[in-house]
Amino acid sequence: MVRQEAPALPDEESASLGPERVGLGQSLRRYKTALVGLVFLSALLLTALGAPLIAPHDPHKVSVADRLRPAAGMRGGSRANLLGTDSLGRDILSRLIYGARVSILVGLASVVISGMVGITLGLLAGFFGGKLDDLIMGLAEVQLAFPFILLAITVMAVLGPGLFNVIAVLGVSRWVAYGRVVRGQVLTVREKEFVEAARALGYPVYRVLLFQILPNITSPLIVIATFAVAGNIISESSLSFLGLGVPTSTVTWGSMLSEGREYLRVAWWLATFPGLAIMLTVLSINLIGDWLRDFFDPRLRDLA
Amino acid sequence: MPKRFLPAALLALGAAVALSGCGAKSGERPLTILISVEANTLDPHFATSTIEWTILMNVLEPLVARADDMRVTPALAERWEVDASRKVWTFHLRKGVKFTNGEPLDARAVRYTFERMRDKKLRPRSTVPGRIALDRVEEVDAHTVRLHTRTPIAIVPVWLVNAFILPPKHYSATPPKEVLSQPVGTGPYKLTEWVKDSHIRMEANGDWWGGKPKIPTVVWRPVPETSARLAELETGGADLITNITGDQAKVLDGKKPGFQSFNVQGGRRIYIGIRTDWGPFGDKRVRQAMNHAVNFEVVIQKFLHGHGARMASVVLPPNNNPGVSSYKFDPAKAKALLAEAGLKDADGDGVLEANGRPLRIKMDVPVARYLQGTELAEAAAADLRAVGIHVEVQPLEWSVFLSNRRKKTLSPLYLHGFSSAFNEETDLGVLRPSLFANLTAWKHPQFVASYRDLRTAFDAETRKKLSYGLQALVREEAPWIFLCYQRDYFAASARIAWKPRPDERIFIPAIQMKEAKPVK
Repeated sequence: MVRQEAPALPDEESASLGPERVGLGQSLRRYKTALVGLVFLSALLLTALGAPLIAPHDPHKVSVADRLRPAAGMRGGSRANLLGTDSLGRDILSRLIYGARVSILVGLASVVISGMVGITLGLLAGFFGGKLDDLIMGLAEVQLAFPFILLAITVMAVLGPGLFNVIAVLGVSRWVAYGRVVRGQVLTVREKEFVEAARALGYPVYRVLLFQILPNITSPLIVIATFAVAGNIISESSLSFLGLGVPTSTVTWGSMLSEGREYLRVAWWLATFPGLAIMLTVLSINLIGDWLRDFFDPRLRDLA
Repeated sequence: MPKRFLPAALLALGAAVALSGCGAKSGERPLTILISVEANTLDPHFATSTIEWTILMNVLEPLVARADDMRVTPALAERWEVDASRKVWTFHLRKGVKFTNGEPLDARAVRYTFERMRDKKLRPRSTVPGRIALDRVEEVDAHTVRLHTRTPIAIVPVWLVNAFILPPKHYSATPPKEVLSQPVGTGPYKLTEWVKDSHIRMEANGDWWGGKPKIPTVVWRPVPETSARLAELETGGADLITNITGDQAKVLDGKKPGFQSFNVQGGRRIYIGIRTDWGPFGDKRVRQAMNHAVNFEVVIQKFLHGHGARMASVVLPPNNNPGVSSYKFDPAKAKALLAEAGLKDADGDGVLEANGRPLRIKMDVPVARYLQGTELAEAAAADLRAVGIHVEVQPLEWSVFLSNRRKKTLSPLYLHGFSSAFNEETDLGVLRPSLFANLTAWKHPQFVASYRDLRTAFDAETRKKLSYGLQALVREEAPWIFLCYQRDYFAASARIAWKPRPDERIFIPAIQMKEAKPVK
């Protein structure tokens, strides 16, 4: 939402909050679910960063003699492999920990790319309007009309599996959400006095766009980006599940899920734990996203 | 939308459960076999896949068949002999046999069949005339027929196993597009219905020369998902299911009374091909070292659940040389052989170097092509890394693998499997340098010479001597890392008794139906 008060200086805008608003920390205390999500996500982030220190085993260490060992506490389980081992005797916990790196990296990096593309195009379309607007929004319509997973599969089949290819595909194909929201916001903001003042002062266009307009439209973008991280983690898992994502030499939750599917009747823990990891991560991000949305737009909270 | 969808789904589920429950109770259900793939054609001259041959062998019969022990045995030909020129084979047909449409089995039908196989207009895919270098078919009298070959071929009967004899009137009067779904033969069963992607139904042929089959009706249904096949077996919807894994068979045996699993040593030889034209792999000692490095005992225990043994050479039982033993897991010996071949780890990083370059290579494995193929490759790669050869497994889609195989661009190591015709000559033939699917580039003069002799040797003793010598040579030279014969697993309900064949085919008369026990 657009803030009503006129900003004093560009640098202070992002920090300034309305007098009727509560602080982030205070709001978080009210939203217990978001707090849980935040704690889980922080723990996951630390785990991913410290994977070599935390993981009990090398995630690629094959040990056929220990294959399909159930989780600790079950019959035949062992404390050496807390969550059991997969069909090649690799430690599932260690693989989950290393897999978190890929999921987080893909989720964040692709959001950064799609955000940059979408925000740039949205700013241009909204600010200049006319033919450029028609062109960019037409492009967005085309992109939206194309099923995402089909596009991703086609591009991955052509480029071949690879971590950076996955990030690029997810990044480039998901810009529309940002582009459309940014354009709409720009349309409302660009007629405001402070924008006109900036233009009257003779600021170059890029400066008006980046320092006057953009800081005033960030709150919906943060919400979109949060949900997009979750969506991209799922998309990466889907692509890896289909064998079109990250090559098998890199551990990912999606490929673990795919391998586990064949053993569902024999060893349920192969697919269950990566499935739970994906579910909990996405749930946490969505809880945080819900909270952020309500935080930035209290009217919605009242409706709910 | 989801709210409206849910009750419908529940209803459908309930109906499915109710239906399968009814089927299990009535006891009238025909013998139901779930297969993993659908047949594309049931015209024997266009058939290529195992499932097609399986269906066909219950409806049609060849002159010479493969018995349960994989030796050739008389079928429509009671006996046969080859003349002194070694190019004329005389087959004496079984008398009084009729096709299920009433046509008689005679020399004319045999001649028609072989001529149809190479009909230029029909363009069939049968490889039999080429394999036996067929010159012409001669009708001697109504029940004697001669096959003339252009060159002496010692294993003509082996190639005739898939040459099913057809009734001339039915096959010449019916258009090719229709006849592919209406096979008619002399076999134990008649095909009565084929609904594509649903089921194939067969009724017993009461006039079969081998005696009226005991099981009156058989239904074959394609169910691609392994878990779906297992679920249907467990809910009483099927009697026999194919293509499950050893892990699944073990779970079934352990937990479920009323069900049984079968396994048999199959004919497919799973090996890791060594491209001897790559770097140090030209050295025999390096290839032997890799064979000693692989711990196959643990693979047998953990993947094959103790069934089977490591492959010693390339020829399957019963034609294998019992004097040739498989490579033993011996990492110390492997390391010694590698050192002897001049491979040293100079920089101490755990990876050996050859001429200053570290041995870091890939091993290609086709995805979902061979039973647990990727797992076998990963296990072998881990063992090879332990002796200093850094191998990384590279899974490839089967189409990519095939294309790389054709272009000869597979990695220095590749996991592959050759099926078998259960004969020493064809088994050894997979290593002949001219074979397109053989990328080992292994050209041993003794192999080439002895194999040439084997192809033209008709005398059983000579063939055995040549074949045994070749098997020992292959073991010693090690152009492969020898792994195993693929194990084929089946699961079944308690109401049948059966012993599976090594060639993945299911011959219904070999299945016994037990007396139905009263349900508790």
